Amino acid sequence: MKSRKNKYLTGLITLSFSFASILFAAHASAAPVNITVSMGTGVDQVCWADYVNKNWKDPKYKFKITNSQGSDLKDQAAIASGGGPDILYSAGPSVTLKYAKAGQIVDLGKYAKQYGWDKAFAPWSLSLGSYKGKLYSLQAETEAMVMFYNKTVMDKLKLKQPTTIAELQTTVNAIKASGANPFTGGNVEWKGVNEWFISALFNAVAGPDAVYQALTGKKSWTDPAFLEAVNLITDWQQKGYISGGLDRFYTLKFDEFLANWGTGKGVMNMEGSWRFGSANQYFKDTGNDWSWGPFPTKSGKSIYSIGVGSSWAINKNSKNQDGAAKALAYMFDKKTQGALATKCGIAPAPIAITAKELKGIDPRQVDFLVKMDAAAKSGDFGYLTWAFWPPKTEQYIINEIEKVWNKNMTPEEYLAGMDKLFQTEFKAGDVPPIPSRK
Amino acid sequence: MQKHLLKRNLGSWAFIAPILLVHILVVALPAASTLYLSLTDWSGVGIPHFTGFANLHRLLFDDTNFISALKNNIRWLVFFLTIPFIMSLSAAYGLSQIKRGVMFYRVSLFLPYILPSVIVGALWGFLLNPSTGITGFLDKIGIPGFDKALLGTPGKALWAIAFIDNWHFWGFLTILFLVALQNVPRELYESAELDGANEFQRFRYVALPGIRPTLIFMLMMVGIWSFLVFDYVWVLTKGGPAGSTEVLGTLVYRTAFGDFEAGYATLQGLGMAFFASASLVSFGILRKRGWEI
Repeated sequence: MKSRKNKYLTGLITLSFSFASILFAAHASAAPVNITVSMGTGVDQVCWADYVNKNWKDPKYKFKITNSQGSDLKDQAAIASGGGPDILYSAGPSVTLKYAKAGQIVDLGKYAKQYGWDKAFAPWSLSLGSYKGKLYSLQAETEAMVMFYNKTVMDKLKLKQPTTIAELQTTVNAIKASGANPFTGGNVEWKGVNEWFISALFNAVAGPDAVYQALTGKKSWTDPAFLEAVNLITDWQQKGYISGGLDRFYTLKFDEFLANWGTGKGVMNMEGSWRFGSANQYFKDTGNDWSWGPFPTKSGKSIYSIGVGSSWAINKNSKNQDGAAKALAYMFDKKTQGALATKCGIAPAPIAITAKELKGIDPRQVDFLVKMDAAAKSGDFGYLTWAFWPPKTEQYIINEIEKVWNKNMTPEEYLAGMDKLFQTEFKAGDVPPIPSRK
Repeated sequence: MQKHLLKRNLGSWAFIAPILLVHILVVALPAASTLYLSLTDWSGVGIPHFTGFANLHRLLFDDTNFISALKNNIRWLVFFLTIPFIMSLSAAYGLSQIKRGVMFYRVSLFLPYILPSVIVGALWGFLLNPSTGITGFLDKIGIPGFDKALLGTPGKALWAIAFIDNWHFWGFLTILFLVALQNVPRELYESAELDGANEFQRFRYVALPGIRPTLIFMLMMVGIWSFLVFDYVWVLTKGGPAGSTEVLGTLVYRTAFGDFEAGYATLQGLGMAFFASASLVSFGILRKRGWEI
């Protein structure tokens, strides 16, 4: 009797386990696979992750973007040890170039054909993401350095937006004479602010042709044209034209110097196009308004010095490379890019995007995007340091310029040091592919 | 007897073994790999290539930023071996002589120490803001020296950060010295007083010798910490302005993750460890010479 009872019990348990196994197996096969990415914790990045995580619907895959501080360093360590996220999000092409050279990211060639990236992306951006003729990364957040103005103060002072460096200098003097600071700015939170100025002025003063020649090793960075650019920014800094003095420039946070722009304490703002998405918030309740213009140039010709805010690649360690490519296809779809621009203020990737997708964003930003797109298509654009320069030279530009402003180094020594470092990186193949000029 | 000793040792080893294993895995092996990586051109991504003593040559003869950062660490060391020690020894001695409200002072002094450096940095960053902080106010009422932002002025920024770090640190040091002073027998003070010693003499000849092991130990620790400083500098100035607050810690970080020179940064890190351990070595030498520390 007892053994019969045991038999029933054993049978029942076995049946339950089998049933549970089937259930789990069925569930497991149905559960979508996570496609992982990690990015920083900026407000726009959190919004970006939130939008993509919620809106991508795929039966097989699920986008899982996580936000964490120092995500780039964590990714670097994880990838080096054979793991890491499926998709590598990095600060720009000079970073992905390192991974491509180390064979740690995937050749996107077949996916580019499958998803039409080879046609959708602007040629200059495809060139930037390539290494030895193969595409390794897709570029996002197209940026350009522009000049923003406190329009109300400019109007009060009867000043027009300058188009040449000479006019800019006159404007600077007029603003200074009025008691306001000609420029607003601060770098305590982000030392990269230093390279915004150098980038913009290299292109505006020396011209994009000279920059192109230097980036392709045909011209030295010690050329007088670059020296003129460094002298100009040094003069402004030493005279206290940016935020009233170097001590203030070194201690002001973004919110502080942008609030000064809104109130008119600082009238002009040399910044990148990423500011379009949030400029309005600094003018709220000030009774002032803002405007923008292309960065004034020595020749007077409008130049858009372009760059990218991030690069996207597929980790070679990923077990879901096809899924990762599919996720990237969603990410770089014009509808997604449009939605990210309107909802999160993320600058669109260098893909053909129409006004339809950008419905709802500030018309001044649309105006900028149209003009920048035209400049990029014509091949007549400038080059921003964080997209086109190799990493060590870029860091040098950021850190050593303060020694020039502080009179610990001459502009000539600064450029000589930069040239020496650049030539070493150029020979080592660390300069991202520079798109040819038309 | 020998068998018994062996058995007893085995027991000890059994207790030590797990932590020893963890130590080998997470300290000894990475340290060994660090030695190797310091001789490579590793970018932090991909495979490192052995470059012999090229990094060492660069560190010793070409790297002016390393020398400049090292100088700042030495300035930091000088500051922290003097100011906090003077402040905390005076405060601890004073507190050791009073009986009422000691706990209140202990808690008040110790409180800043439990605050995270990021919070302290943000708080003082706000207080030293030239427009909205204390320094702005001091400038407005005409006190000289505050017209420029302290953290934005190359000659002052490092000292301003050291001041902030000390604000957080000296209370901790005071409590340590106070505990040590409370173990000095009261009879010694009384005898000194009977012998006609004044307050300073009682401090110099009774209190100080009484807490010598604690004092020397803390001097050694501060010596080590001064070469490892990173957080306050990073939070407040990131090594700027114009490299005036760059210390070895921030330089190593920038080299490894900004310049993508992890191999070379490893050597800079070893240099940092070398200077930090100098304090440890001097401690060992003093012990060998018979100092009671």
